Amino acid sequence: MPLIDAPEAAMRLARAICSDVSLYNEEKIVRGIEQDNFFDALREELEEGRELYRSRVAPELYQRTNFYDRAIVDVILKSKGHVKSKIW
Amino acid sequence: MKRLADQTLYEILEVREDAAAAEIQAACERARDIYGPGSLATYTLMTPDEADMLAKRIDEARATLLDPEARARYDEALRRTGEAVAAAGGANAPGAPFGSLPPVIPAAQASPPPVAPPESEEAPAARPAILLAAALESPEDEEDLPEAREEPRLAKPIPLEREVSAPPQDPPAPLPAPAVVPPPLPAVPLVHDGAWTGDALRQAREARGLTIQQIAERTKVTRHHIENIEGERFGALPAPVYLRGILVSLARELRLDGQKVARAYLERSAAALSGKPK
Repeated sequence: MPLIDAPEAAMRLARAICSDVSLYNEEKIVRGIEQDNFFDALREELEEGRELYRSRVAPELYQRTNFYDRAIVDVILKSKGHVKSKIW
Repeated sequence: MKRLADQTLYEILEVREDAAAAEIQAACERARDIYGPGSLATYTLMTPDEADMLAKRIDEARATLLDPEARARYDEALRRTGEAVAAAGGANAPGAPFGSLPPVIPAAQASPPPVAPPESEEAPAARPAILLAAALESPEDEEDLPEAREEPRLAKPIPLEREVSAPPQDPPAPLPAPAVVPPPLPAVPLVHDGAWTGDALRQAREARGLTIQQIAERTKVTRHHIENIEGERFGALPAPVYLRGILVSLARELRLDGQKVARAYLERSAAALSGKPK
């Protein structure tokens, strides 16, 4: 499979991966936000997602962009803005 | 969940009705950030029309609630609507303002109605809607609904998301038959040292009396993924980030510890794919 070198496509992939992480780990995400340990609680899931993203995107594009990290915030965290937590 | 058009401006902003102006201002900005045009947070969750309507309602909330005079008028209108709800003798009474409401769950079924599971995000909205509907249908039975009195007064009537057909009034509905206690599920075989293999998962599924087709329908995981998991065809399985979610879903359905099952199986999969025996 050819590596993705278009920024838009890479961004879409990052969001799609994060969307699936969010879908499968709803309770864990909410708990992580509530208890302010989101990145620790989701470490394995987020790193597996990052690994998939890295494996599909051209190295140069991966190095100079942070689409996956942005997708974590935009897709996973922003949609949980209603969760009560001291982190907001 | 209430429709956007039916939510009060306070509900749109997720603030209390006595919120201070600064709090409302902050809520407006937050709502704009989260739901504004081009928001990644909602781009797959709302149609463009819904997003437009939400944006208009946020603007309306800002214009109304940050203007003291307009807010006072709006609060007064809300209060009058709330009184009308309380005074209404029935949803279908002549002249009742809620004559167009769909059929509601009758008061005869005043015991806690079936609602979405507690983990569902929609449960908080659905529950008061049904309770309100029951109260409107037969206020004299309110004594049987202690929870209904504890609910905050709702500013506007909430139409049910779907129609619920009312049972015939005459003769009265028979008492519900005692719930049939399902036979206890057979014990899931213990797995030594947490080695959740594909075969162990198959045994756990069979111990629950589930076919692959049944568990596929319950978990929305495709049948061939389940077959590949049970058959330990690691090369044909999706990437770990997806496989973990699938395993957690399967384990949850089998009443197993999803995290332990996923971790053990993923380790096994990684070892197999890297050529190391596990």
